[in-house]
This record gives sequence, structure tokens and C-alpha cells, in this order.
Amino acid sequence: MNILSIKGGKVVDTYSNKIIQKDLFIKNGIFVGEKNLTAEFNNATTIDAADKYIIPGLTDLRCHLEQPGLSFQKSVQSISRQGLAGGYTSLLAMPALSSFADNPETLRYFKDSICKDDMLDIHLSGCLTMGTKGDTLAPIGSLKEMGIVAVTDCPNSPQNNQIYLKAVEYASMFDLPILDLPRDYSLSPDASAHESLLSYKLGLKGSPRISEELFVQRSILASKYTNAKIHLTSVSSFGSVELIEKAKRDGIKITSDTTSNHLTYTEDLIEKYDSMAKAYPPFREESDRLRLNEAVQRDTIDSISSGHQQCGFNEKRVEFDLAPYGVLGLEQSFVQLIKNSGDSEKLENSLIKITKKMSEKPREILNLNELKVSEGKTADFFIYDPKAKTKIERDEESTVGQNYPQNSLEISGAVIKTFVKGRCLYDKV
Amino acid sequence: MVIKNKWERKSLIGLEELSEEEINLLLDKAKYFKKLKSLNQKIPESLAGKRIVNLFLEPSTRTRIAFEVAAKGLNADIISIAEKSSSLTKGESLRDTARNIQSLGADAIVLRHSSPGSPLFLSEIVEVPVINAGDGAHEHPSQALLDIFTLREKWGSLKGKKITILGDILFSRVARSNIWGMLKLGAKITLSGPSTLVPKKMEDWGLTVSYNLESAVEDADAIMLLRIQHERQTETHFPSLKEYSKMFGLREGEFELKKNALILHPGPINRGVEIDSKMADSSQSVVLEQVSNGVYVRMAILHFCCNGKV
Repeated sequence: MNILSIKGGKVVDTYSNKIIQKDLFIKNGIFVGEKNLTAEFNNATTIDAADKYIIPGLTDLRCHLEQPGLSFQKSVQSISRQGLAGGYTSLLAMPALSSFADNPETLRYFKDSICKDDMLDIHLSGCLTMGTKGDTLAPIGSLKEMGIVAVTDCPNSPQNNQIYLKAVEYASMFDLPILDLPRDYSLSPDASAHESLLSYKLGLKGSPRISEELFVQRSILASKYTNAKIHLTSVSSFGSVELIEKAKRDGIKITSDTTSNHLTYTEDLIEKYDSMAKAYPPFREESDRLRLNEAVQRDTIDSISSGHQQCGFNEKRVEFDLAPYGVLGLEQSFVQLIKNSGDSEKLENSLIKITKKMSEKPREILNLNELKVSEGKTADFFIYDPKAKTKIERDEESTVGQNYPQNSLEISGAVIKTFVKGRCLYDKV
Repeated sequence: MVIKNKWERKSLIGLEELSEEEINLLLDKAKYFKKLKSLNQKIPESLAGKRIVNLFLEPSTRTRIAFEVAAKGLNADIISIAEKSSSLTKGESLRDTARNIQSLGADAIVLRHSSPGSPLFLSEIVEVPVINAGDGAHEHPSQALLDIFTLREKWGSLKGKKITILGDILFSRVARSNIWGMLKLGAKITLSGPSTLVPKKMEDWGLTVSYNLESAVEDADAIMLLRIQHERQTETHFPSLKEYSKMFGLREGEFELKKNALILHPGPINRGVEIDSKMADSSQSVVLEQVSNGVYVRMAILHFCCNGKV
């Protein structure tokens, strides 16, 4: 029997927008109330969480599991470790698994042989179109029977509007949310950076904002036309925010996320052609970054994803335009967004806001059960210590991806323990 | 700010990183080599015993040959490797190819590559100097230095001079290197050409963008034409060579140029497209001087980057 008590921690509750200090008791992976405590709790393992925060586990909406050049199993294990270290207890896998999630067999293989009980929860998405190529619809109904919770072609997006609209209509028949990473390829052929004065100076082909915004508007119109539940992932331009803001005012049920990295970084990272920081969508300008942050505060943007994509050193450390897209996000996303500079009111407001965007909202978008640190709920949570430090450094000897956007990073505040179903799966040393 | 008036760099990646003093240092050395040649004096064998590798992974004739002639002029050994004869066609990465070349005893690598930023990338991997001979649409420093050398020779200084660069700016490394270098030397730059190839946003660089050819060239002290091609990457950017020539071609008698305005072209020239034959061969054209100056400028680059002794 798995019994645990956590004493003195401050519990973050995004549903009541409150932070309250209380002792917690966990039995068999479920939070139990004090009145239900039995004698066995007298000998339970106790964790002292004084001056620390207890936060419901995070759920990521955009995580790519596959790392080219690494076995799929190893790649998933490493992603799970990174996720747990960042406070995640579940994530939505994008449909490029060991092969594309456009058939029930791939999903069955994944569930039977890849998922292990020492990992975070991996929820599956299915392809919107076969092989994410945008040509023919995937068997979404059969995929739903295998347990997918969303459909998407991410990191691709169907370029043909007819296919997209039909796919959206078809998927919504199964009440599955459709995730789209908006990008019109015809406006950004071979792009490897944000189109700007910097990309002109560097001689890199740019992806202009309009290449994203056109497809943001496409999804807004598709949602209006079909009444489907469309979620735009990883929006990066201030123009996209304006379109989404207007759509929401008009009552269209579109939702969106941006990534923690896009809230933090700008194109400055690639000034010296650092291919490790080559992301899609590309990091844009300070005006975009500020607008995205404001949109998060004003709830125009519903949630925050990691956009996590592992790339091996050999694949990534090549000529910039030849390097694949992809940056890591799971480990640092939560801690780097928390305002932790000594002002406890600011800290707590930021903990509530960011937790809402990274735990409550993504689960709502995916129709997953609520995660709350309260009686009767699954004990998926993590402990955040504002006084500890998070240090991240690229280790070029490692076989798993080290494509952190920055070479090294030190943030005050750290995830120190992460629990999935009451079991501690991450313990910071 | 520390003014660099001696050469302390290992590699030459682009003109963006060079100070005005460093540019002048290179140009002065090129001038010295040119003077020795004109006086029929022996050029010092400053790179005797050095082995230079031309790693040209994109087609090039004049730049490759100019580096070969320059290296031989300083008595260095030079080996040229073209893409088709390199292991890159067998799937070897640039990183491994370059390391192998270094292990074979190269003292410097001259790199031409289609990927922007590849010389910087290479310079972080190998210990020997890397000289950029053109990287995608990023920079082509030796070309810009020879252009600037040619202008400086005519004018003494570029300060306050009006220079118009005309043509496909978007995909041109020659334009970018010239913009960096000429701005540093105090010139005023106007870019002109079709709006699809000359983004207005480039004005934030500290220059003027004009889509009116007449006003772009009428008070220019020099006009630099860029080669216009109508191939895969530009075919969506303007209708046809015929239309380009009609709207932006430099034809004698159609424009009022300044009397002493100079005409430059990095070659190869499409006669009848960006310029008509008469103007290309006129006394205002310095195209052939550019080519011969290219050798002295590249001698200066090799000399400094390879620690040449004089």
C-alpha cells in the first residue's frame, strides 16, 4: 500500500484562484481527506514542504516524441524524464510516433510496448490526414476507438483548404479537438528564420508573419463554418493574437496556445546561426514576444505548450538552413515563466496564472479529467521551491537531444519533486 | 571602443565583423601588392610552404581562379576541391570533410557554400583559418572588398559618395557584403530593383530603398549592377527577364547619369538584361578592373589570414 503525507506546503488551486497552506495525505495514488485518515498514516513517509508550493501536474499540448537517429523507446524515456523534471505529469504526443499515428496498429504498438508505469501519462493524438501529408483523411473514427484524444498533422498543416475543412468536419463528428500549427508553406518555402531585417542580413529565407496569420484566420473561419473545436498551437506573431482576440469577441470557439520559448525568446538567439535555436514557428521579434505575453495575461491565449522536439547533436549541428527545426521546452518551460524575484505576491499571482495555462486549460481543451490537489483526485502534482535553482546546460556528449534554445541557463526557482498517481517519479538531487 | 589597426583575426567570415580600420588595412595591403606588380617588382613569397585548400561546394569560376592566382602569387600551394569530387556527395557532413582536410595539413580553407553561415560554422570546428568565398545569400567579402578597392582607387575615399546597388538584392551576398563595407566607409547607399527583390524593410539598415530607377541612378557616383537570373528561386519574384530589362535595365541614353559615374558589375554579365553592351563596355565601366583588382585583394586576405611574412 502506497501511503504518503506532505506537510506544510502551499497548495495552488487554479479553480478557486487561491493558494492555501495545508497538509496532504495520499493513499493508493489518490488524495484523501484528514477525516478519512486511518492509523496507517501514523507511519507514513512524510515530506516537509514548508515554504514550497504544491502544484497540480502540468499537461503539455505539443510534444514531439521522436528524435531522429535515436531509438524511439529511448527517445520517449528521455522525454518522460525531462517532462517530469519540469513538473509535467502528462503530455499530448504529436502523431509522428515510431511511425505515423494514422492507423490503429501503430497506436496499439505504442500502448503495449512503449508506455511504462514509471513514466508520465502520454495521451495520443491521431493524424488528421494520412502520414500528415495533407492529401487524404486518416481513419479518425478507428483511431478514436484506440483512445486518441485529439487529431492533428502537427508539425505539418494540411495545405489544401478542402481537405482541411473536410477533416475538421469529420473529426468534430467524434467530438475530438483539432490541433493546427498554422503555416502556409507557399508563403514560407525553405524558410529557416523569422522574416525580418535580421533574416535579410543573415541571408536566411524567412517565414513572414502572414504565413502564420493566413492560416490562423483559416482556422477561425473553419471553426465558424463548421462549429468545430479547433485549437491553434504555438502561435507566434502579434497579428495572430489580434485575429484570435477578434474571433473570441465574435463568439467563435477557437482556442490557442503559444510556447514557453516564444514567450521568452526572440530571433536574437540565431544572430550567430545557432542551429540549436532553430524552431518552428521561428522566434520572432520583441514586439511579438510582448504581445504574446500580454495575450496570456488577458486570456486571449488559453494555454502554454512546450513545443518540445528533441534533435540529436549530429542532426542539429550542421549548416543552419540544413538543420531540422526543434527546440527543447519541457524542463524549463514552467520555471522560466514564473515571476520569482522576491516579491511573494507577484510570485503567487504568477503561479496561479501559469498553472492555469499549463495544467487546467490544456486538460479542458483535450477533455481530460481535472487535476486538482484536493480530496478524491488523482495525486498528479509537483513541488516547486522558489528558493532552489534550475540550471540547464547543453551537454554535447549526450546522445539525447541537447537543443535547448540557450547554451546555458540558470533560473531561480525549481521543480524539486514530481508525483504521478502518488508515486515520486522525479526527485531533484 | 578599441580601434583595430592591425590584423588580429584568424578567419574572414564577412564584412559585418570588420572595422573601418581593418577594411583599410586589407585594402592598403592589396594596393601594395598591386603597386609591386605594376612596377614589375617581385611580390614577396609571403606564404611559401603554406597549403591552402579551396573547398568550393557551389559552382564558381572566377572566385575560385582568383583565389588560386592569389595563392600562387604569394607562393602558397593551393588545392581546389569541387563539390562533385568531394566526399560530400557520398553523404559525408561538412564537419567531417573539413576536419579531414585539416588533418591532411591544410593551413587555411577557402569555402564557397550554398548555406548562409557555413563559414562561421566551419571556423568553430576547425583550427585553421576559414575564408568565406560566398555563403548562400549571406556574404561574399572578397568580392565586396575588390569592389570597394576599385572605388577607393578611383576616388581616394568613399566618404559621402552616393552608391546605388541595383538588381536582385534579396538573394545577393555581394549586395550584403558591399552594404556592410560601404556603410562603414561612410558611403550613402541606395538600393533599387523590383520591390519583390528589394524589401523596403532594408531601409532599417541605414540606407535608402527606391523603386524608381531614374531617381535611384541620376545622382549616383557609382552604380553597382547585380546579375539577374530568372530561375527557381526568383521566378515568383518578377515576371520575366524581358520585363526586368525594360523596367530596370541600364541602357545608354535613357538616363541622365552623372558625368563621372562609375559602373560596376561582379559578373558574369547578362548583356541586354541588366545592362546593354554599350554601357558595359563604356569608359565609365570598371568591370575588368574589378577582376584584376580581385587578385590583389585576395592576396591581401590570404596574406593576413595565414600570417604571411613580409
